[in-house]
Amino acid sequence: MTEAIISVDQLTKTFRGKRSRDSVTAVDAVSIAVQPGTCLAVVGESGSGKTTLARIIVGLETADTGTVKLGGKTVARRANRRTLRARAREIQMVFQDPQSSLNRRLRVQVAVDEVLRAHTPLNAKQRRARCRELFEQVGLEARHLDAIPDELSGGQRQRVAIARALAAEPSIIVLDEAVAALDVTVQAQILKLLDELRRSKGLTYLFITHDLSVVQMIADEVVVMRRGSIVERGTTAQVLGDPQHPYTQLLLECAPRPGWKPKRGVIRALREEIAS
Amino acid sequence: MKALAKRLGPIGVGAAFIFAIVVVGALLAPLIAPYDPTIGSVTQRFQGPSLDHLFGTDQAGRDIFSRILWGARSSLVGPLIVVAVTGVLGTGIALTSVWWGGAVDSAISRVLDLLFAFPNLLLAMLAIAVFGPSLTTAALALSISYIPYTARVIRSMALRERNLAYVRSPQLQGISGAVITARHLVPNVAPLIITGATINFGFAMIEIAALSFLGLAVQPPLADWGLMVSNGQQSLLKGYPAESMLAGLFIVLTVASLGYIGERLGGRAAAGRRS
Amino acid sequence: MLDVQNLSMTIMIEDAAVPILRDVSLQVAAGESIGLVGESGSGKSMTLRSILRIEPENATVSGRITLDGLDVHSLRGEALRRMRATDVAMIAQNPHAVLNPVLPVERYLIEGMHDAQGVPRRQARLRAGELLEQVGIERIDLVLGSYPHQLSGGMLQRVVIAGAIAGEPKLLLADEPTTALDVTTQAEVMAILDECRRELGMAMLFVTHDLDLAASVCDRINVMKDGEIVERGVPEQLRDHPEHPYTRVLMESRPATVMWASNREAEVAHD
Repeated sequence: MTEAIISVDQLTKTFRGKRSRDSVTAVDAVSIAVQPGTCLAVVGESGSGKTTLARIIVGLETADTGTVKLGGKTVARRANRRTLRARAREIQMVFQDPQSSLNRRLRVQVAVDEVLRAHTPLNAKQRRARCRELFEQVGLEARHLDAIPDELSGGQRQRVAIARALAAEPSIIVLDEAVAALDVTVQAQILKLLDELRRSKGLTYLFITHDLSVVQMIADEVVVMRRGSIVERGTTAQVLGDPQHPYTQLLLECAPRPGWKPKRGVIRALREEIAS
Repeated sequence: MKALAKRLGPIGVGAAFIFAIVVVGALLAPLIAPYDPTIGSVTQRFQGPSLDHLFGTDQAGRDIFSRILWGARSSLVGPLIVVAVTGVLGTGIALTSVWWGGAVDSAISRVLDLLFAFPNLLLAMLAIAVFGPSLTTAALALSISYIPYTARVIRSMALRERNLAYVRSPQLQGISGAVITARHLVPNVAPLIITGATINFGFAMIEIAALSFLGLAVQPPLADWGLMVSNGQQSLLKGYPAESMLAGLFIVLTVASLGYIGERLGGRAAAGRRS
Repeated sequence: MLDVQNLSMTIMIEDAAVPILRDVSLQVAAGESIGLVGESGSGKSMTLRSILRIEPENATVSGRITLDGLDVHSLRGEALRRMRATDVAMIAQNPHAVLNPVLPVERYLIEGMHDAQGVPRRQARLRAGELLEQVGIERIDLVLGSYPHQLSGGMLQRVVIAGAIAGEPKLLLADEPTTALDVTTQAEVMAILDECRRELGMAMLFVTHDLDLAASVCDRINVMKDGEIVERGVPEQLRDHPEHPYTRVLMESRPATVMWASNREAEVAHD
């Protein structure tokens, strides 16, 4: 077994409220390890802590305790500009909402150019050529370079966001509900693109999602989170095919599928099992 | 231009036209004013409108039309100072507060709260008591009391924007806060800054006129609309309402026009964001 | 009962007439549940809004919508208000936008019944509790006294459903009622919606982007794309023999998580 490219050990983060009972432990002693070139899906509902986990790993949030290792090196717990810049060459993030992922007052190319300028020694002309190349890789055309976000569809904007993430040539991409806001047919296209990019570039993905259907399409391994803790982990086939924890079973029971009917009795029984 | 006209709507275009006339009148006052606004003639007191004196003359025999033209200058310059100072400092304070967050944000918010507690005009009068009555003192004092409003509104919008991916992503690249603020945050809160400026301009115009009326801003014999309303009071009692009425009318027209334009542009800008 | 005939709509955007709906026809019989499935921009929500006459101001609408033989587009003033208040009820996507944030839930339900159906307040208060019980809420008194921000999205959507069924309307219009909810909450709310509708014999027009979700509660489904209905049929038929290429793409885009489902169904069959 090769060394994990993402290794998270006993990560804990509590958001303190004004009163102690308002405090929420969003991530509670979470450990994960991701092998290079694989995709780990972190599945959970709202309040599970999956997004906070992702934000700690990329450096948008500071953990209370625990360590994050990327590519074998421990990253600084409290990120500053310099450490973020170094970390960004290893790990990039694609955010959820295509509406807000790009500055709507600038041409979309600027978003990619900004990253190239921060991480590569290329001059303006070279950067322009590189932007064009990156756009091609994510299935956009040269004419999209000078578009503003309002002129692009949600799927196209998310492709620009992926190009922006690729610009720093990272080995890891964190995808935070990256397809959740898209139409299902567009979702399928973007997931296909992501899968191809992963194979051709040997990328590692950490895919944050609430959607088991997305997990099935893209992930090698899955961790299921509930209220800050991991309740189940395993390969996608194991977790989706033979879930052990009643919460995973509940998630699967509730996911719409052909021939599915929502059954209150089954849901209630599983909820009681989780509570016990 | 056509797009702007469409955004303003027919009433907005009219309002812009009125405001443009006031601005052009102020700029060209030295060229088009037929008389010196400060020199009158005792023989020409309280004349009605005529070809010689379009709006008639005041109790000192000065040409009201010329005084309105010259008065537009000080009446516009005062609010302009207020808007410029408030816009720059208010935006700066708001964005600093938002970017650093945490303790910096709380500290700035407390200071703003404190400033909020002072009534605008009272603060201005205090400054005037210390520094002496002049347009600059009045405008600067008002600017300080407007900053909390501007800063607070911009802060709340910038705070929302700061958490969006287009700002978070460059932050993750290790790009400096100043660059991100200038490149991403400022352009996206600009519509709000502009709307705020037009609203502040209207308020400032009325409050400076009020201070001039009380003799605390523009000093006689200079022409100023607020001062003219005040000067015209005695004439009003004698049955010559032209001076007060005309100056008052111009204040109302300018403030209302600008208010409408601001509402139109701001409202549309906000609507554009949502769609 | 509801009969939409050749509904077309165009909206003026910057001097250009943009077609939103093209010749949409659909029928909902009494007590029947019909799905309207499509992606963003397909016109599914606009169709729903047309029925309530809440289309955008700059829209030009043609075609005919009748509710129990009454031409909806000819209704004005009081008649329109009465139609909206008693014959149909709407369940929207975001319950936070529906409930007044400064009033407790109880007031929402009571005012709704009092204003729309003229139920005396005292009676409405008793009925509010019954309704919450009907939508599967257990701590009724606690919820009645709560303000919207104190309740979860799933709980609020149940309150909205309670309000919708209060007047026993003939037709429920549901516009992506569970899209904003977590998947486990969605399943519960869907189960409740389906049960209430069946018990009270109401018809429903269910708008969603999720074909499987629609299939779980609908007798027939219409698939919409670019303002047109491209295919219609019973759920099993759409699933097993989709005819329109778009329906096929829609199905293939979401390979359902079938692994566990098939294992489990085998288990159930075994028992």
